[in-house]
Amino acid sequence: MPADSHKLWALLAGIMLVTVPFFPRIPLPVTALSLIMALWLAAMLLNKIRQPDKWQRAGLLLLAILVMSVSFGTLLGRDAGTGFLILLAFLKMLEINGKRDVYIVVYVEYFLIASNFFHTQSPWVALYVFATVIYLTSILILFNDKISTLDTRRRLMIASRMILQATPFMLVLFILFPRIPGPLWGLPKDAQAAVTGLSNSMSPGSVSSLIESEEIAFRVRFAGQIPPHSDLYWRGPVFSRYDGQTWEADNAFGKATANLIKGEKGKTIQYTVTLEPHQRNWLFALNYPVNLQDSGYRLTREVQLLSRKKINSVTRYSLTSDSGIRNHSLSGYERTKNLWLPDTDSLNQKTIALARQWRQLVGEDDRRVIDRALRYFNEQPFVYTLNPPLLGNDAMDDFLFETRRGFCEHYSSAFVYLARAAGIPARIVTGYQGGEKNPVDEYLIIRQSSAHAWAEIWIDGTGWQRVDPTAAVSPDRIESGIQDAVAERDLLPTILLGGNSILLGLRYRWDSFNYRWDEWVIGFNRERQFELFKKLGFANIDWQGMVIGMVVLLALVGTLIGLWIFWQGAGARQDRLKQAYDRLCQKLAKTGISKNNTEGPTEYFSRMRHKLTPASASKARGLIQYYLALRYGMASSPDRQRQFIKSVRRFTPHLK
Amino acid sequence: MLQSDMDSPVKQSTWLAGLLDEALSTIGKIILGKEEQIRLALTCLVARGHLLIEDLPGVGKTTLAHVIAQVMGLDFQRIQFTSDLLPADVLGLSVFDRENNIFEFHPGPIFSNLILADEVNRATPKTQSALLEAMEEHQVTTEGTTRSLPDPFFVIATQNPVHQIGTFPLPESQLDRFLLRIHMGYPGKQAERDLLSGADRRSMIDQMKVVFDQKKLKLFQSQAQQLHVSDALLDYIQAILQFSRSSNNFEFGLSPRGGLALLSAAKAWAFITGHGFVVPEHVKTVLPSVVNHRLLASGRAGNASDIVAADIILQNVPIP
Repeated sequence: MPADSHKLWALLAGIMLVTVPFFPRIPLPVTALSLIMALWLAAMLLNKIRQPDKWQRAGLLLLAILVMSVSFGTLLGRDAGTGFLILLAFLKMLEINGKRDVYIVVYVEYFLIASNFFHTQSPWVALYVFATVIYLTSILILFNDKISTLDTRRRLMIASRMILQATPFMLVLFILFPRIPGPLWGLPKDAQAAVTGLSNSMSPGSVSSLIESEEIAFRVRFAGQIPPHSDLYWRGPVFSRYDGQTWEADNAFGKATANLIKGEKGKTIQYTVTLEPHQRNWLFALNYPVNLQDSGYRLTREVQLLSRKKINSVTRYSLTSDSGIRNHSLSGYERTKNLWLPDTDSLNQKTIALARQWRQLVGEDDRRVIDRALRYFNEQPFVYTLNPPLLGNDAMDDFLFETRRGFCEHYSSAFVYLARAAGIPARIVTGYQGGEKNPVDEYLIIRQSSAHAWAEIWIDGTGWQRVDPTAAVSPDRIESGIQDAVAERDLLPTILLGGNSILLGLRYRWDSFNYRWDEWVIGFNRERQFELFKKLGFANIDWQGMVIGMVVLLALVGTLIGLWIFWQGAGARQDRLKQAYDRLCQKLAKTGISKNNTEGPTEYFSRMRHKLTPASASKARGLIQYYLALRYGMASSPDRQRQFIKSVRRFTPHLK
Repeated sequence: MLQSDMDSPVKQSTWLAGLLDEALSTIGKIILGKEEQIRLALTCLVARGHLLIEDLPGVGKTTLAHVIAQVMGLDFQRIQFTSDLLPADVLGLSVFDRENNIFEFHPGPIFSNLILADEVNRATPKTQSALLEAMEEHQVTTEGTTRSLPDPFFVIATQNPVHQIGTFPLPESQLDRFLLRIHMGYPGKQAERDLLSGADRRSMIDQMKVVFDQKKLKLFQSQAQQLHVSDALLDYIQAILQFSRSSNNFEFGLSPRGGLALLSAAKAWAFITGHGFVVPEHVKTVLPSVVNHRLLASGRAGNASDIVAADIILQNVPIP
């Protein structure tokens, strides 16, 4: 072991600090092999076993390859890539034989640390990465601290200072580096794991399973007042096909756009949504978004807002919704689609009979049929519950006449079924309802637990109209939120229960911080970048301008920090002289004897002079005496300094 | 450490150099094979410091002091320290004169140019501190009157190794008053042979030539103090001080007085070896004599008795 063992312990601590957070995310065999190698190193440092020889190392490498192929079968992708790097870093640790190996290990660790952001980009991770980078830098300092005068605290201080000096560069690069859209920044496929959220079909239980999740779906900041809770229907996937169990979207003419016209009255709401990644194309909006010309988003025929790309990073979009907008016509295809029911001859006969009965009672007016249906939900003993009983083959009959316990997906699908049976075109809309106001920062938090499903019916002359049967069963759900609506309170996640006000306040503050982080750090994309420049008065800046600005700012920051370091450094003015002397020593080191840094010039000379030819030796002695006089005597002047530098440049030592 | 062929380009006047060479060779004729110690002793004298010689009895401590006094033309007093020695025995005391009806001060042996305080660690702390205060202040205060000591004033104290019986080891605070501490060590084989076959040292001292006088010595002392010291050298000295304070090799670091001692000793060494300015090698040469009695190596370093403070510093502090 060339390096002291305490240094290697520090390096081992560093690699553990870096790799341990990966262990839960990578397959068990990789973790196990990593830990075995870590233990090997620890035993080696305790002098229990020797450093693995060439064959043992080759064996470990083969084992690592085996583990990789069993666990991943590839080296590509996020998890396989980081897993392999972790194994390689540990392998390198076992063959450390000099400073170069240490550097390689530390650099690999720097890379691993950065790859944490492939998984999550929360402020916590950023904090952890920042702290670990400081520690890794302090390891580099440790291995370069030849005289071992610095204790751990001091090394961490120096490392922190270095990172602090690098921070302005980081900020300039972060703000100005052109965000080129394209696959260059894309993550490998396996990074886009399934996340909680609405799905592209709806069956009993698919919405209520989300209620348990405290995860945030998106946050919204309104330009003006936050509208009342009961108006906040965040429109997501729309379902019109039903097979008896599951509702699905109609993809046949997915490309068609909505045919919307401006109605008479209606107010506009401006808001900005910061959407957490959910690996789907859809976005959420209030009825109906109008300013989509430049946004790159579009509305489907069923008025669902879609993005071209999957939302796999925090996405921020601003919308204006106009509640006066409506659809002006319903095509024959759509009318048929939204009236269609499966197997009307055999399934759900009682339900169909009920709908037909209402139709006979009230006549032609569709609205009165709807009122009848809502009254039915309201008056019959229906219960709004999170754990409804299972339904049989005749799901609607079972629900409407037997169990009468259900969640919003039950109510909405039963309602749409009834409407269709009565001859009214109807469909299901899923999304989120309501939201939680953050009093700290006056924005709305929409959690997965606000997931909701409601219905839309077609009224000739009015267009599609929202009807929420859940409101008829449990008005509280729509008026104030889920926490007041559900009977079984203890089934709800704690976040929905409210409670301790100090904790709640802290939680809102933390969420507010997270929101800003998403808005300004994670969501700092091309649009945001241009927005910022517009605010700063550079409205028409292009890529070239940005790159030039970046280079200029980097140079400026570099100069300022350089000057600061220069003024801080004592004796900086003697640097040229010292550099020339160092060059002289480098030349003299060709004798095979190099100067160590605690050695004075004459000591060094007397140690190596016997290697030089007499002429060379006397020349070197002259130069060293000259240097001593310039540096320690009173003889120094810029002229003499230059002369010395020149003489050193011309000097070539000749060996005996 | 400094090679003789590496003399600086700025040379002193040949007159001074001649005097110094003569003094060194004169002393070297009597103290055999101890050039380094002689040079260090002269360095101490030129730097206006005091010298502590620590070694076993009979290795020539007293002779060295005697020879220096003789060569430098200084009046010399020897005080043998014993456990019953009182401060007044060193400083002097006032005696009532019946005829003139006044107290008359009878100066003690300390009122001399060169004092040899023999076996200083055998006296009680009270007496030790009387001597050490006089060394520091260059004056003596008895019975309310302050009296200046002669100039030059130079104390050579000898000390037996502390583990010998009947010693009161000097505390660190008082060791700090000595500019340099040197060890004599046994003579080499040839030197010992010459010593055994040569004439009686005592009579040789009596016949010895006086090379210096007090005026020349004072001139030397002031010239040595005026020697040029560059910022680069001060950087080195500060690096040493900083290292002694921040590294965990020592119980406590060098005091500012220690730093001043290092600088003036380095200057004096540069001066008596004929250099016009101080280079790091001078600092390194005097470093063991300056710091080894001031620093206590701590912990693991202290357990190995052969590791001394100066070696730790020399191996660790880079020359800026």
